[in-house]
Amino acid sequence: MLKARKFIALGLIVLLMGVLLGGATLIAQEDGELTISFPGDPRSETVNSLIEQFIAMKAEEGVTVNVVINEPTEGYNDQLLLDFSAGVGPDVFSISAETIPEYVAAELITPLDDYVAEWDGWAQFPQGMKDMPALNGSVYAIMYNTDTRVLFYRTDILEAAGVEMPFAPASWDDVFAAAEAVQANVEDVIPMEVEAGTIWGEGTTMDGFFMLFRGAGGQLLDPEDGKWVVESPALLDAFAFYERMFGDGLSAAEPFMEPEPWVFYLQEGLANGDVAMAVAVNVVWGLYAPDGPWGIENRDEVLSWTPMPAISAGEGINGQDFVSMGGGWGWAMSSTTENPELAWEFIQFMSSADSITQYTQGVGGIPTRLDASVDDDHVAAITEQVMPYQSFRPLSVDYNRVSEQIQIATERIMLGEATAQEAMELFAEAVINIVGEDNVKRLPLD
Amino acid sequence: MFSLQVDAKSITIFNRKFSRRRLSEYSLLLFMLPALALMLLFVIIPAGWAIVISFTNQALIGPNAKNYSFIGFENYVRLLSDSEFWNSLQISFIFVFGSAFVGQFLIGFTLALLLKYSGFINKSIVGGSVLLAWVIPEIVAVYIWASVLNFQSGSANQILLALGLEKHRWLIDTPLLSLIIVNIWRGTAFTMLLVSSALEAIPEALYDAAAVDGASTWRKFIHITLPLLRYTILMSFILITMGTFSVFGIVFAMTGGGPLGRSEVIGVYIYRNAFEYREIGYGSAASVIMLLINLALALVYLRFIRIDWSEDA
Repeated sequence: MLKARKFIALGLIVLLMGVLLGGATLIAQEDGELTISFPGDPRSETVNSLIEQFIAMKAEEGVTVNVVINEPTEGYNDQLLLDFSAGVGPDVFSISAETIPEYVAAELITPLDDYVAEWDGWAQFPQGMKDMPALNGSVYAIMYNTDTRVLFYRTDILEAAGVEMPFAPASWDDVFAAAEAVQANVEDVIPMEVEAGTIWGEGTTMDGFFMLFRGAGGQLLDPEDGKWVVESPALLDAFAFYERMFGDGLSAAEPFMEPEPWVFYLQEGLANGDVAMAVAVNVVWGLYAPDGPWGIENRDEVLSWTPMPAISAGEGINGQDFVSMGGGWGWAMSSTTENPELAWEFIQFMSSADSITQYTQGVGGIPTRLDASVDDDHVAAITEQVMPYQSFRPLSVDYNRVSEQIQIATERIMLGEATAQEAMELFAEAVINIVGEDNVKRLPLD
Repeated sequence: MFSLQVDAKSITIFNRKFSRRRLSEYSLLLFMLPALALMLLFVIIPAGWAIVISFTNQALIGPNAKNYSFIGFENYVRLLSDSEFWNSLQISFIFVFGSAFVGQFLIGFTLALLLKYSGFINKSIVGGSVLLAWVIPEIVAVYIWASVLNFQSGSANQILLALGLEKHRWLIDTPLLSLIIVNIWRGTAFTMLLVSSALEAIPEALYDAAAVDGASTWRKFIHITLPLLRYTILMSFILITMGTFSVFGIVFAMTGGGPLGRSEVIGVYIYRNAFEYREIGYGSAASVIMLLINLALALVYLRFIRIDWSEDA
């Protein structure tokens, strides 16, 4: 008897807690509610200001929109996935384009085809910005942020090393020649930095490996048959670049193994003139602005950039002389939203010419819309000289894990524990473990 | 109708008589209920849930995120045949042995003794600085040590250079040793505090009596201090072993488990599989094994506690 009552009492308390929690959820589900998730980084200030403008706009229409903002500063993707798996995913979220396939496979994201078909703004997005968030012919996000990668260099150091200015390398040999000149003629300077190793994470794959791999004409995932290419001349060339760079002492491995390699290499090294050349994402230019967070007082005199050359002219992907990699973030609608009309209205607002202009100016990026005007010489030059060479990462649910194997391969080469050839063999083995023997192929090495 | 009658031994509510003793049992239960409910909600249910999903192929993303299924012991079979899992276990054991057993315990214990008995150590400076390492957040400790161990300009290498030695690649050539040093630095205060407070509780009279009997300092230590500290010692062992076994933040932020898995403790292995590879089912299976190992270690220690050593002494 006593035992039964104990259980009843316990049961009542649990029930009470349940009712309280449930009640809180019900209240939160009122009309005009929008939950929005995006990464809490330096760019989120501009996003927040745009969200306020959206709320004000709706208020003028007589609609009160209650916006709940999630902006985790660390582990954005993990946080988002945990929210979804706990059943409290947002209505609208910012998504990095290469992760779209995973969200599609998990049925967490809504195709926007019907919405963009009736939206006049869609015509203002260049083809690349329409392709990046598309999978199997459907559009899953509206890009609001995009970036590209170039070879930054210190004009003062290269000049001191006797390299002819303006520096305009047309092949990898030209890049190595400049690095060797720095090594020979300038003391205490690391000649070059191409991202490597696992600690820099996706940066290694995107900013480092792919900038080389595309320059050697490589395809990692063959669009024809959907197979991962685990052995190819381009893969060997890209790995051989790393082998030569580290093997000849043209770069230093140690900073890549520190917790925040970018602090040494980009924030301090390139800024202070301890590093002569670095392949990096275009947005660092803005960070180096005299009043920027990584400010270089005389930036325009000592820092410059050039498009990254292919291994030799015409040998890059699609027969290009130069290559670049593009990534970016878009606004996506979750499949769990109970308010798709309002969610779309929000995405549309965030993707208008005016919003994209404000965003791009706020973060110093490249506009994703043709009619978004940005008054900045650097952005204009990069848009004109580099954007035509953009290529993108393969879209696949397995990309994330294959990318990690790329990082491991570069780490092996960097630490001198594998040659380019050995690293490629280990890479092939690891990728087969991930996707299966049937989903890989090897191209003949010449 | 509500009625309440109170006398010395019983209380009558609604015409039912309850003894005061019985009522106090009820009220004890009542006071414990909120804590029990919270434990249930935040400890027992999540742990149980982790065990349940360790038998599924649930993923955070991709096709298995929504439509996952029970796959029996498949995750466990896969774990036991994964050389990276065994690698992480081995590294965890070295890490625990090196940093908890050898480092934190021996140094903490010695420090506590020195603080109490040695005249030449300034209690507030040494105690304070050891304590400081313990109270600062994990990530702050990582950044402090990252700057100490930094290859180019870290103070560790500056000291080596000043001694005429060559710079050492701390995080590349000796990643596990570096992490053990950081963890010792951080965790020593815990044992020191536990042992210090236990030392204070030993009555001086025992030492005085031993001195009258002509016991040397060493014999006093062996026959009085050590036996009286044995519970503290074991408790400290249990807590620091478990704590160190589940260390994640220091390793993750400092080396990420690298280079090439050479400092990947089990916590980082679990994180990598559950969150980076998004295989939450598989990651949970690894967590369950980690839980079992922790439980086994705790049981071993608890058996030691039951041994009555004082009879041998």
